[in-house]
Amino acid sequence: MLEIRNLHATVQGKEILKGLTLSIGAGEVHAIMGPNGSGKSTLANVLAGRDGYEATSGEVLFKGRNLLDLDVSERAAAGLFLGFQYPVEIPGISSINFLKAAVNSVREARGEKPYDAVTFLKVVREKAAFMGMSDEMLKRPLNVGFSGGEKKRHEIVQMLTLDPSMALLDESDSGLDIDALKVVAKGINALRGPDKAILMITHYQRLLDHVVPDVVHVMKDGVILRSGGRELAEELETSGYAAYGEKERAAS
Amino acid sequence: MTTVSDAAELRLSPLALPEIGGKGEWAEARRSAARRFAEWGLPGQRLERWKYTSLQPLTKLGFRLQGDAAVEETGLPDIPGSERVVFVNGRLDKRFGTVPTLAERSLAGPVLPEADMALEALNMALAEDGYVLDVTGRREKPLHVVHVATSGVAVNQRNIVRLAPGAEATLIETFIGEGADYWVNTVTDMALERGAKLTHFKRQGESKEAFHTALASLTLAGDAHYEGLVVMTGSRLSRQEFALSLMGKRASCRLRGVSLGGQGQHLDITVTVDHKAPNARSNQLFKSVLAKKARSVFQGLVKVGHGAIGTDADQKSENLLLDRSAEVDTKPELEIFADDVACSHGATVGELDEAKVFYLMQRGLSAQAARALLVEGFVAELFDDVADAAIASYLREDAETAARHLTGGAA
Repeated sequence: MLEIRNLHATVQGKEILKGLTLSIGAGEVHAIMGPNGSGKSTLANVLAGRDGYEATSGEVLFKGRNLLDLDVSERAAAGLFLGFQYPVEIPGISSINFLKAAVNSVREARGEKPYDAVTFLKVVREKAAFMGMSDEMLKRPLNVGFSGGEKKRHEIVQMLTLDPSMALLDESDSGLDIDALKVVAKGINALRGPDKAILMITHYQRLLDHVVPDVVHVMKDGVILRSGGRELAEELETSGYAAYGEKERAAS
Repeated sequence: MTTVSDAAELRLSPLALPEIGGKGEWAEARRSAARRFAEWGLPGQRLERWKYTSLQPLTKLGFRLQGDAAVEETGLPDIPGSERVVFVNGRLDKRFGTVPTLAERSLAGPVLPEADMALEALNMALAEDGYVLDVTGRREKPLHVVHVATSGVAVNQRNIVRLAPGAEATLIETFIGEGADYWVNTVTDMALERGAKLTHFKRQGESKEAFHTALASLTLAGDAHYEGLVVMTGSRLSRQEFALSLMGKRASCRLRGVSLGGQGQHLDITVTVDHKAPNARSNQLFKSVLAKKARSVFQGLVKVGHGAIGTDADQKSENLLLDRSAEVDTKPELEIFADDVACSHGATVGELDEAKVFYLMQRGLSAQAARALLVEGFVAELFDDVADAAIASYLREDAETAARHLTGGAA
């Protein structure tokens, strides 16, 4: 699904990713953990194609296509979804109108028929209800006045509606209480499937109690230092990132 | 009733005004207005209120005062639930419905007050027609006046709106046109008596090669309320002027508008609100969205006279530049001669937030669609509280079409 080979990337001229290699197959769920400043969010932004995050060398293949050749919306249309750590607020545009424009844009790009109004409403209401969001919230301006937890749940509603083949989830667990965390985890698990891949980026391992990853990577200073199974996250839980050069601050 | 020959022409430099024939008070007043205009000429940029807007391009053209227009029904906008009348080049086209008009002078009442502004004087001198809307009680259906202009014509239309005590009405005006180099110079006098309420919408969607100058002159008696919303997307050069006098206690007005300009368009909104009585309220919110060398001007002057205690006045100007070639000149102003008033004003100029563009594109919208959606979001609040859903969507669609154009999309 996603092949990252020796990826180097800069932000404002400073090299943040320093030869990162990572491979995620269809049906797999991976987690990248690492201390602050290790380049986790930069990786997510480079993969999504954000301006200012420049891949200087290396290669990224997404479903066999050269991802770095595509613009942001083409990557989305190809099936890449980024769940934002800090979703933006957009006054004046209701969530539901935005989401309809987005999903139909993606469906058209994939050669699928755009949803008509009735079908769209049915789909989005079902996803919203699954994530514990009311119709009324969907009518409100996008993310405006939403709590941190509501914004994160709303990201997952959008993800489930857009039905991407690969989800990059940047700190989808940050700022959530335990109940909200469980709801978000339920949403992520709902995307799992043989033709889907998920990459969770997190500082803490607590999300991984609810969305159990197949592979855990430890990232630091722009590269993957170690990869392993679920037990690697548990090891980090007890020892923190101290072994990776950061003081005891990670274990929650 | 026509007192200006249909073959007559108007030229501004050197000035060539048509002969105004006829006898009586009206003809005399028009000749007097013509003399005043001849003396003043077009307002120049040395005048404070014309500092940012030059009418020079008008002087390079000549205008006919009557066009032979065959306007077709298709192409004329219609708003469900509203009663529509159509003026073509400033004259009522009775094929599309009727309304009392200025052409029957007796309806206009006494001769209009002398113009104190040059364009108003020119309008006074040349206006042959216009609607006269007299309302008592509650007018059930909104009146939609569609103004159509055609190439090479100068349209000077004079409209009168009078609301009796306690009357209520909704007026929508649409300005559209075909072709190039025409000039619409319109004046609407509106008088709201005690407790009257007028809701007024205007869509200025002239041809991009046309000129549009308009004055809405309003007086409000005690407890009267005026609600105005303008959407300016058309014309090469436009100036919308509001002159409001809050004459009676607790009179109030709420003015809103947006100018959406591209391709070198110049869109000016100039407002004067004169608080002349205690406890009156005025609220203004004007926005502009500009791209490709377009320029918007907002001048908002709130005057609070002696004795206008308890005045509550707010004016805001919010502007969005889609690229660095566009320009905004915004000048909210306050002149306060009374104590115990609450007055505020503010202006902002910004660009689209790239973090928001990225977010929308990440969800699959093209760069153009993402930018258009953000523009729609920026102007949306102007339409959110328009009570009549058909009118709200009529104006919103116009703004959204312009937003797509300005962000590089197809119509």
